[in-house]
Amino acid sequence: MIDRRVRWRGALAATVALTVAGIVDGNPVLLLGAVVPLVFVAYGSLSRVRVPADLVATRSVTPTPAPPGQPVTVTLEVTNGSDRTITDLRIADGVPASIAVLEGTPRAGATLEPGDSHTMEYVVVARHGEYDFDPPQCRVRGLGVSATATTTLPVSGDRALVCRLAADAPPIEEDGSTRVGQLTADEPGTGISFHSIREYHRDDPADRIDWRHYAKRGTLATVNYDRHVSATVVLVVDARPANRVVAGRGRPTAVEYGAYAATRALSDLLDHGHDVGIAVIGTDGPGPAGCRWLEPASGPAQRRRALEFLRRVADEAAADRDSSTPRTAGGGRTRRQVRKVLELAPTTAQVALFSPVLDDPPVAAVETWRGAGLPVVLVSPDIVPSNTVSGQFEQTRRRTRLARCQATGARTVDWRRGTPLPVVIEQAFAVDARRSSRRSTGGSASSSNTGAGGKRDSSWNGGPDERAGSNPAADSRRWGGGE
Amino acid sequence: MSLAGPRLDRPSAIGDEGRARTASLWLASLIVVAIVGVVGFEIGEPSLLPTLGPVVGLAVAGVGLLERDGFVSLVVAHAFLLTFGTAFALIVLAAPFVARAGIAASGCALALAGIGASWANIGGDGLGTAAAGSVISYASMLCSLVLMGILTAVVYFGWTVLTSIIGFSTPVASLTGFLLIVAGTAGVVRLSLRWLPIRQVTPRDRRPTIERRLTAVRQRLLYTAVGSIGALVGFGALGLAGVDTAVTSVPVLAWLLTSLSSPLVVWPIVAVGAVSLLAGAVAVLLRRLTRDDSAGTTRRTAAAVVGVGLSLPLLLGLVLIVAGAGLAIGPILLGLGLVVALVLGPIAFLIVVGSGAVGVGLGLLPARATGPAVAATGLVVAAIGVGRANPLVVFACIAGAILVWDSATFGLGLTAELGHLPDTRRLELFHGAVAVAVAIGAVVVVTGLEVLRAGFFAGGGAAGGAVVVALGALLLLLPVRG
Repeated sequence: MIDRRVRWRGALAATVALTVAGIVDGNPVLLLGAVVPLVFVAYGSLSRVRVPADLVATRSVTPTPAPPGQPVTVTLEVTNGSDRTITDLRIADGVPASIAVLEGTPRAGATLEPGDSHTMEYVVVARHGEYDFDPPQCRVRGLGVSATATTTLPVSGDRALVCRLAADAPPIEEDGSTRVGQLTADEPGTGISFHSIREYHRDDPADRIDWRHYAKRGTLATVNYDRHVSATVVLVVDARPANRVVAGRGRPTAVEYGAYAATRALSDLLDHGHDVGIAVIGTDGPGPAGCRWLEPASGPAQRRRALEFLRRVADEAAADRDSSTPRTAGGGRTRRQVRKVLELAPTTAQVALFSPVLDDPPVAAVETWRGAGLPVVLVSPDIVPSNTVSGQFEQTRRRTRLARCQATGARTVDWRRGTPLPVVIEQAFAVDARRSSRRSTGGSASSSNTGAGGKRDSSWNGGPDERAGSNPAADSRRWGGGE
Repeated sequence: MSLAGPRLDRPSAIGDEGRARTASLWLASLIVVAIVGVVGFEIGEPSLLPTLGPVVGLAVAGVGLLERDGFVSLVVAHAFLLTFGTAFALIVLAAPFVARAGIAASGCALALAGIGASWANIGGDGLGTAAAGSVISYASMLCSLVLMGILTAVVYFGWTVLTSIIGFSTPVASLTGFLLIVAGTAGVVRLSLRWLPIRQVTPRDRRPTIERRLTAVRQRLLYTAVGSIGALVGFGALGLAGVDTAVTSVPVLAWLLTSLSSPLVVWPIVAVGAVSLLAGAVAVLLRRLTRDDSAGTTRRTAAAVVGVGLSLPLLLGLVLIVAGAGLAIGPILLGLGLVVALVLGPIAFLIVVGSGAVGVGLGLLPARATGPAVAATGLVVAAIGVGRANPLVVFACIAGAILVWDSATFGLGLTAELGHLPDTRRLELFHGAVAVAVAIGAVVVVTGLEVLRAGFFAGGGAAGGAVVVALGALLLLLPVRG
């Protein structure tokens, strides 16, 4: 589309003013000077522009697919394939309306000689779903700037940003592990990593004898390794409408973050041989009490089912994030679903709740589950912006709620923005895996202290109960001991 | 719709319409500065640029600072407006009436102000705010001047009365003066007790006690005032009855009554009254100033504070004129300068800024490109001012005006279309180079025409040449009017 704008009204006004002044003053110099603005008017009027035919654009989106919240770099390279210099080229890439530009700009202005390229790079935030880029808008001006030609550029390369919950989750091995679980327990057994050394017993296998110790002291000793155990974990996603909020325009909702964290935890736990179940609270599902429920199980089939389950949750949250429908609380439904999770979860299971804790129901849920003796991990994605007074107030309230959850004995992990999710997941489940082993072995494990000293200080004379920092009574109280 | 036409894409967080891109503004600024410097030499005022620069710059800074919300920033802004702004306005409006070169100086001031406004991103809204603020400051200055006059009269009257009382030598007069002072002081102290926030600054647990004491003090002050007046009336009645001569005939009593008007008695009482009145007035003023803390109140208060502050030099000017009358011409001239600058300057500033705001409102000036338009207008005015000087300078002024407009609006269009983030320096410099080349070509052409005109039409008189050139210019308009 070729357009021409009136840009020289001021020059015409100057011409008239100088003409009048010249006539009034009888000054021919001013009259001649009136010609100068007219030269610019003529220059603007006579300049022509053509729609560029040989402009080529190539877009790359890296990485794609990406998990929610991850910065994605978009690069658009525009090449002048014609034999004419484009003196004034302005480009705006067609960023999807739902996506926010985090860094850089999707616009550029350049002068391109034949064969020249201009590259612009910007960063967007991935949100769950698939977003098609519009073709880049391009506007070319002639030398006089008044005439403009606007068109859309054909683009090659990536045309969409794909965001999936399981984008960075490692695939689970089809044949599975030969061991029953791969979480290390805080008690000795057979395994790979060193746990402690004890006195040799006559029936100990020869490959566990510490020959170095024998060479040093002349007595036989046996090496204990970390014991691998399996656990049952129920991942609960808080998908209530109140959590379908974003930290800023174009950002993923808290539910999407929660589903993403659950997906990552699911992959990790299944990969280590644990039984994992899924529960979604806050939505009307086909399960009991409206709670969407997937029985704990392990293996690739369970992973597929669970991923589909979580994808559906994220899809619903993504579909609802731009709606202006008021988000109702549904407190009664949430309470029923929380109790239903308690009923459905195996007695030896631990619960991992993924919630931004923007209100009180998640705290009540944690209190309910902890009251029933279930170990609870709360992974809370932080989506509250702290750059405003109200945001800081809300952040303070949220952290107070996290502290209340912690006071019940739950392990709370505040997933701050910028912290890699694998670190968060590892932090959330590293300790609890060991603790779950105590549950599965009747609470005979000695300590919840995972410090290096506490774990590795075992020696000839020290039994498991004598480790530094151990407090079995307090620990069993906290984790529903007696099981 | 933006200045540059429809946007390439939807508005987003990336692009917002604001100041023009830097390279374009630099180009326009260099052109303006160079032309103002050349014009200064041409009109015989080489210091024109260094003189106008700070004045205009600080005036523009004053308008720019009005966008802020802080009290100190606003006070500084209004102070700049009523000092440098008035100086700028007086140059723009008064200089053309002084000499023809004044037109050039006025145009140069406008050009510098326009380019400064472009840097400060001042549009029609900023001019309107400046005009409103200057009205408040000006009104405050005049009101405070009137108030100061009244206050001075009151103080002068009180001083005269007090010195008269102190000078009384008869017992009756001394007693009358003393009773008047006591009644007045009691009334003033009672009034200031009402104004002072004594109850509010008292700890909560002691407030009932303080309130009881305040009530008692107010009652006593009332009794004192009424009693003094009653005693005054009674003493007057006794005087009419002729009893006072009997009282004053007793030497001790006469000495006691006479000593009541001595400075040792009068001044402490007057000091108590004056201090309490001052404290009460300050408390009332502070309360009024801090009652409403909205942005509008802050803005108005800052303007009023500057107006009150400038009323002092205005008063000084008036005093110098009155005091120097018939004695020396120096103080009178200084006083006249102060009075004229402070009384007429803000009006001139209001006219200049108000004209800009009205021009924007009527659509004569583009709202977003007010600065470039004013700068270009200023250069055209400067060209008219130096019309009888070197033709090359005239043509350079006109070409500079068009270049400034072209470059600045090009930069504004870039900002509107692409935002502030992309690097567009190469684009801007390319456009600037082409525009400068066109301007140089135009100047060369018209200079050649001028040489021809001076050669061929020199014998035919200026009028004939002027008519030919006018017709030529008008004919040029026809093919390019669209």
